[in-house]
Formats: sequence, structure tokens, C-alpha cells
Amino acid sequence: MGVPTAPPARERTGQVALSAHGITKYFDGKAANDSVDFSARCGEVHALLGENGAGKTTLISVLCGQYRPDSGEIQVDGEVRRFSSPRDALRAGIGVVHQDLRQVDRFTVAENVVLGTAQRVDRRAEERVEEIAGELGFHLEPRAVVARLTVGERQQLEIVKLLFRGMSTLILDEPTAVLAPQQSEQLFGALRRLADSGKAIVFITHRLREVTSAADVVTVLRHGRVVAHRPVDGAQPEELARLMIGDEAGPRIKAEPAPTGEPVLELRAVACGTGRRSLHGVDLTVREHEIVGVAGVSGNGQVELAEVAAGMLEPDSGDRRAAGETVAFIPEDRLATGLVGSMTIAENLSFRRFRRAPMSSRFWLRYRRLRDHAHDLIERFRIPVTNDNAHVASLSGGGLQRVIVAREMTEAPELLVAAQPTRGLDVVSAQAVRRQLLDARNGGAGVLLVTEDLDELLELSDRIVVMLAGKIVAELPRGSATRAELGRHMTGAHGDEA
Amino acid sequence: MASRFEKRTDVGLATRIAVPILAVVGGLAAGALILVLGSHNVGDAYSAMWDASFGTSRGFEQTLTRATPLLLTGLAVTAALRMNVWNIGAEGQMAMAAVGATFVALHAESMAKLPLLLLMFAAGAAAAAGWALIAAIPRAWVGLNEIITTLFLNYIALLQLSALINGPWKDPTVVGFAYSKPLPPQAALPFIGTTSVTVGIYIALGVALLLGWMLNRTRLGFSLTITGGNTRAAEYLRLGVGRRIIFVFALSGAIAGMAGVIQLTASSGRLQEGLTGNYGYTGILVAFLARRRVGPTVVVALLFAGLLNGGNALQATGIPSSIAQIVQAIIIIFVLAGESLSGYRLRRTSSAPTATAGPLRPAEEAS
Repeated sequence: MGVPTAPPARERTGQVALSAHGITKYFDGKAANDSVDFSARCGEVHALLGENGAGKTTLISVLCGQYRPDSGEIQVDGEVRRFSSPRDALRAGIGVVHQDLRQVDRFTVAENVVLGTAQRVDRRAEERVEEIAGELGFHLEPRAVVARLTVGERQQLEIVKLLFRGMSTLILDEPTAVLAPQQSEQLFGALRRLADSGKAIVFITHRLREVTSAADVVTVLRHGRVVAHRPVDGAQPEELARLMIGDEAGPRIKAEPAPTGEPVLELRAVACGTGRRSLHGVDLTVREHEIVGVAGVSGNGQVELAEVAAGMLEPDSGDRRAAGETVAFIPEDRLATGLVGSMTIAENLSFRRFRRAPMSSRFWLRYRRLRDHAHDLIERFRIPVTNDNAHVASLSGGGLQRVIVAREMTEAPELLVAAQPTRGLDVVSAQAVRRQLLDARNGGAGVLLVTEDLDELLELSDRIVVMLAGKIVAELPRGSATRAELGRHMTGAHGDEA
Repeated sequence: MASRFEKRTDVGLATRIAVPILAVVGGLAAGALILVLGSHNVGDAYSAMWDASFGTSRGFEQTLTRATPLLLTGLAVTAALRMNVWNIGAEGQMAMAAVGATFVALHAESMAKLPLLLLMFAAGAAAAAGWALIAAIPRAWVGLNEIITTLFLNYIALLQLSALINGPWKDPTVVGFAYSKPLPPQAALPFIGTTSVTVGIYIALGVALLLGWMLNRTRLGFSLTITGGNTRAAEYLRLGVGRRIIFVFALSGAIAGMAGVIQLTASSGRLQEGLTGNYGYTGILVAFLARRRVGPTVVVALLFAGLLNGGNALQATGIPSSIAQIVQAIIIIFVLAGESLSGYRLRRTSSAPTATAGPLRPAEEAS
């Protein structure tokens, strides 16, 4: 037996492979998708563009059978289908590459590919894996253990896995979020080849650059509705941006250079951990009045650097000296590190202050003060609260981020460590957070900013350091850094690892 | 048509109250089936259960007496669970508390009633807290699993109790049973009015009140809730996690210890085996059903005590003890199932049209 279903022939190019009509899906009375029409054609790369919270993930969750729509229907090859689970969608030839890749770390590439199919892991399967990977320009060794793969390779594995199963439609959820620029280019090259072979390709993004460089067609979602559906050819980036964001976005921020002051954080030869997630001899100084940006492909020690800088993680060797008393930390993994999901929003907002007057006396906690403080922050940072007793875990990613940012920013820190502070925020809130980072810096704080958003990094940083394999491999002063140069350093010298 | 379970987050108060009631009714119905299969009279059996638990004042007094240690062990487990640590050791902590209190009573026979009882409670709580720390300190410092250690310490504590009443504290006048010497008469808890219920129930309710206050209204309780809710968040806020684990274990042990001292001073008047009566283990169930909250723990402990008494009453009607235990167990299983399932809703779904996926069914994995 070969591959379960025959790959669609090139002749199908132009036919609608998957379409959705009038999809509406409510969460807590709010429409995440509102009468959404969508169609993916064979031979086309289709970008689904929208801000965080625009309803992109909801739509693909409906398309792949994860959610059932409250109304609307899905057609596959012109036939109405109702999926009650992702399994049904897979049977219909629709495969999704999720952001969090679900793989068995201790299995090999080939084993992961075959897992869940009726086939055996034998020479033929391995050859088939190698063949599929080769056609796409992926260097995947079928017998390599998945735990050793990079995030980019894991993503490639996921694509190979779906092709092995004969999927005719591939949907990728923000595939470039974890990739360096060069890796993204490689991915889009592979997607183009797949489209040329007759597959229908859909990818989610909020980056205009990716739409104009890699897609044929774009559907723009805003507040759960389709606001545009058009060929990419001839589309103006400014127009797409306006469609995506509406007219809400303010002017871009420009950071004025400021004289820096005394060091607020000094790391000397800091090392900790082993393996990929570790630091090896890191020297770094953050001064008053400056934002130091940290660039790097996800998983090269940035998280550890941020945690050491914030004093969360004790280095195995080396020195950490922080000048001030107040260190604010916006951790990357909000719910896992910064918040307690089972407590209310108001309680979570009080974490930095509940041990001091006026919020508590020696013994008692003053709930009224706690609530007053929370109401103040909720208003100022526009945290979306449904009721006073709502658990913080009921908030969306953007809401969680606002809670942490609100709490940490109001402490007037000498040192602010911010890891991915705008991830998950809509444009307006992201701009507000960037504004606050700059305000903190202008007010004298030293800011260590770890972010995967290169534009944000270039926009805000007074200096940028690049991390690779737990080391700082480059330091670029304001103005001299470009995306291309950052990309080269991020992937190791001259892009040979990309 | 197919159906599947979906997790729900919107469990309302009405559901929270209705589900356990329906579960008990369902459990009684299923239990009735067992009784009928054994040709027992269901009406007689259940009316005996009712009389012995809540239906008569005598039954209710016994239920309150049983509820007293159960409430305390339930609170002990609840306190630990607030920090997300499991105290399986309430049974052993009760035993060590009884040992400590007995030691005081046997060595201070001439003391007046109130100071003697206070001293016994203090000694018992301290002994139990110390016993809990044997598990707490390695848990806090090196992360040794507290479920295992507290469980094993139970056996050691019960054997220690047994060794004492068979050895140095043995009453030489009693033959055939291992009892300690009788405690002085001042070491008996007073009864409430003319009832058979001791003031132990007031002590237990008082502890519940204080614990609820501490957990929900104080700075300390708030920091415990944070630490229990997310250890990493606690580290992030520089709340000493280890210190708090040790504190909460000592507190939990002390509360369980109160149950041990009450058992000693309310019912037996001597240190003897069986004094702990499995209340330490049943308390885990109580805390679980009460969802780690203090108020519900009071209610659940009372209902559970009633169920235990009712089960005993079944045996008194001539129904074999095995059948009585089955009926009891079925009711508990129904309640537990209701508790777990009420977090879900059953959704009916029409299955998709037959998939035309070729000869082999590809991809069973939800990837």
C-alpha cells in the first residue's frame, strides 16, 4: 500500500478545494467569526491576514473540525461536510500545522510521520519521507530523533507528515512566528512548490511583508468579519494595513536618542543550564535611559537571559548586579509565570502591592483597596473585564498581557525586563505598550527588551544584541542595524544554518 | 447521532447544588437495586438509614459526633490543598496527637479540667504538626513527594501508638485488649447540654471559621493561595515557596491533631487502637468534594458523617455488612461522578457524511 489518498493532479489547479460559507461562531456572546466566507483553491497560496483577535484562529479551528460553527457550512470539493472532530477534517484531506507542534520527542522523524496511520515504519516509509522532504527542499533525516530538531525542522516535519497522509489542503497557523527571516523564506519557497503541484495552501499571518511576498490571494479579517478578499497582485501594503487595522492606528513611534546614565544591570560571564536552552558566558550591561533589544530565533537563550536579568533564575556561574530595588518583569509565558489562573483579575493585579500598606496591614488584607487599585488599572490599561469575580484565565492572550503590563509598569521600576511584551496585542494596545516602554526609558529606567518582532526591535532599541546558542554573537548600535543583518547574525554568521 | 463531552466553564450555582442532590438520589436508586437483588426490604433499609443519620435526634447527635473529627481532617486536607500539597497523613497525625495528649494527661493527673484540656490540645496539635513536618521539610527542600511520605508515616504513627499501649502505657488490669491506663476524669470533653454531643463540634466549627478567615482575608492566606495556584508565579514574586509549604503542613497537621485529641477526650477516655477510625483518609474525600473550600467542607463533612452512620444502621437491620458497604460505596461513587461530570456538558453531534478516504483510513491523530 502506498500513500492513502492520491495527490491531487495539477489539472485541478483553480478549482475550489475548501470553502466556508457564512461561518458564525460565538464565544461568550461575542462573535469571533461573523458570517465569514472563505475559499481556498488548488494551486493557490492564500494568506489569511488579520490582527490578533481578528478571528483567524477561530476560522481555521472551524475549518479543521476543532470547533463546530454556530451557523454556516463547509464544503470540500463542492460537497457539504460537517466535521465533528479534526479527524473528520483529516479524512477529508484538510491538514493543519498548528503553532504548538504536537510531536513525540523521543520518536524519529519517520516514526512521527507514520504514527497514527495504518502503516509501518519500514524502509519504504523512510524513503517516502525522504522523498517528500527532498521535493520541498527540506533536509530532514528520517531517522533523526525529533528532540534534536530545531523548531524550523519540526515545522517541516509537520508539513511532511500531512503530505504523507495525502492532504490536499494545508493550513498553517502563523508559521513564521518562530522562524528567522531566512528560514521563513525557505518555508515560503516550499509552500510555493506545493501550490504548484496542485495543493491548496492557506497560511495565517499578521505580517504584511509575508502577504505581499508569498501569497497569491489574501483574505483580511477584522473583528471577526471578512473586510477584503482580493488577489495580492497590485495590492498596496498601506491599503492592506488599513484594512487589517482600520483607521485606529496612531502614528508610528520614534524613539529620540537620549544620553544614557549609570548601569542598572550588569551581567558578567553569566552561564547557566546545558543544552539548547542555556547561557554561555554572557556579558551585558543595561544603563539608565536606554532600551537594549535582544534579537534571536526562538529558543537560543533569550528566555533564560530575561529570567537571569530579572533575577528569576540564578546563574550557575558569573555575576549579576542590579543597581535598583525595583525590577519589573514581563515574562514571555504570561499564564505560566506571571499570573495565577485560578485567581481573579483584581487579585492578579495586586500581586506587586498586596504585601505593603495601604493594601494590607501587618496581618489583614484590605480587599477594598485591592479592588480600588484593580479598577484603576483596568480603566487605565483598558483590560477587558466581564465581571469583578472573573478569573484571570478567562481572558484572551491580549487581555492577559494587559494585566501583566499594567501591574508591572505601575511600579516605576529602575530595571524593566520585557519578554515579548506586545505578543498577542492588537495594534492599538501594542503601540500603547511600546509607548510605555519608551516612557519608562525616558523616565530613567533601563529596559531589556526581548522580542521576536524585528520591526519593534529596530523601532525601540538604543542598542540591539543578537543571541545564538546561548551567547551574544553581535551587538549593533542604534541606526546601523537592518533586518537582513540581524537575520544573518540570528542564524549563525552568514546564513549557512538557515 | 453521536455525542461527546465538552468541558464547560459556566457551571452555575443551581447546577452546583442540584448535581450532588441528584447524585445522591441516583445512588440511592442504584443501592435499592442491590438491596432488591438480595431480597431485602428497601423501604425498611432506607428508613433505618434516615433515622440513624438525620431523621431522629439520637441519630443526628451521632452524626454530629462523627462529623466532628471528619470536619477537622477535611479542613486539614483543605488547608494543604490550598497550597497544592497533599496531606494524606491526617490519620497518622491524629494518632500522634492522641499520643501527645495522652502523655500530658498521664503525667498531669492533678491538673484542673480546663488547663489540662488546653494543655492536651496544645500538646496534641504540636505533636501532630511535628509529625507532619517530617514529610514537609524534605518536600520543601528537595521536592520529595509528600503523598508517599505522609502515607507511610501513617503506618509508623499507628504502630507507635500500638507499641505504647502494648508497652509502657498498657493498663495491666485489662486482659485481652491493648488499652492505655484510663485518663483522669478531668480529661473528658464536656457534653453540650443534655445531648451526647461534646463541645468538640464547637471546636471544629471554630477551627473552620479561623481557617476560612486566615485563607481568605489575611495577607498570609492570600500569599498561600498565590503559591498554591502557581509556584512559578510565587517564585516570580519572591514568595518563599518552601517556607510556605512547611508552614501549611504544620498547620494542616495541627488541625488533624485536634481531631485526634477530640477522639481521645470525647469518646474513649483511653488511648486505644482504632481511635483514628479512618477519619484521616475520609477527610481527603471530604476536602475533594468540597473543592478545597472551607465553607463547603463543613456541609460535606456533616453529610458524609450521616452517610457513614446510615450505613452502620443498615447492618443493624440484619442486612449483611458487605451489602451495607456496597450501598454506601455506590452512593459515594455517584456523588464523585456527579462532581466530576458536572464540569462537562454532553453535546449531541450529527456525524459527518461517510468519508470517502480511499481504501485505508488515514490519520487517526488529531494533529
